[in-house]
Amino acid sequence: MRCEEMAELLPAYAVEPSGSLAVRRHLSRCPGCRAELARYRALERGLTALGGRTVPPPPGLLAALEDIPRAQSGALRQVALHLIRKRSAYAGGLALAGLAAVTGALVWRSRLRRPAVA
Amino acid sequence: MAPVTWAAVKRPKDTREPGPRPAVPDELLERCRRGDEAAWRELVGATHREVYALCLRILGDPDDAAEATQETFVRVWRGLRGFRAEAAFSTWLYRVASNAALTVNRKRRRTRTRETNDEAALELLVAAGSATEEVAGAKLEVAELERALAELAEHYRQAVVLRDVYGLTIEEVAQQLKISETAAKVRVHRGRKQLKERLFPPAGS
Repeated sequence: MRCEEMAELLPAYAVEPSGSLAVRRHLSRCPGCRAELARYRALERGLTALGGRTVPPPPGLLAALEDIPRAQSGALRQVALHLIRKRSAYAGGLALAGLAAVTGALVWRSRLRRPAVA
Repeated sequence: MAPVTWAAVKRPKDTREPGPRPAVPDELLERCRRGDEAAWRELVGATHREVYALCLRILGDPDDAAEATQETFVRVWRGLRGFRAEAAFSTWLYRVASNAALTVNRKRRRTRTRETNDEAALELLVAAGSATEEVAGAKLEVAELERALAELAEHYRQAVVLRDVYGLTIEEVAQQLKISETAAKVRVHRGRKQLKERLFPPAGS
């Protein structure tokens, strides 16, 4: 196995060493690839260690997060009000449409009854 | 089928331990489900730093990370009633956070500039202080690692952060990023190579 082939295998091998005899044989003979493997292992351990490290959040973020229950219930109230208003508007619209229909029907009927002018 | 958890990263050949997760008592979650605002403040106080760090590492931008953190906790507040303790709360929280971060990322992708990565790198640098991880005979400054990660191309950074920092399996990385498993593997592979090149440049370069 050549060093160029090893270079492609090492990023994954550093995390999950495979049982390939050819890889292990090459590593036992090649100090350059062993050093490269050590670098990848250092990188992986460093990345894993980052998972336990936090970063200070910007000022004001915590307060905004704490306020979420109130903001959400406020938003829900707004949605409910909006729906109630919309429902009233729909009811008013329907009533007006009904009234217009009845008026139209009455006018049409009265015209039908009117005697024809000679 | 058993639920897939972030802890599932510990496959036979993978000996890495995922980083410590914030422990959240069930009793606190129960109080939050009942709408107890004091309990909510306690929950947020105990977990928001981890969530912000995860979002910042995925997004590479402090403003976007703050937005994703807010979105995460809104989703948590809405979803708490439906959360069943089949998986650890922290596992669920991190999954919600990475989803929120990727949603924010999709919204912002078109307007992002290189400058923001530099800001993120600076913020991480300040946060990391001068801590040093001595591993495998090679010293890695945490700040240096954070900076190299923040400077990585977005699609490689997301894959490496999810796989190597937060311990998702390749299958989970692919699901989160909405790509094939092959593409996820390629991104993790290239991301690791680029990080190694940045952190351990060849002699003479």
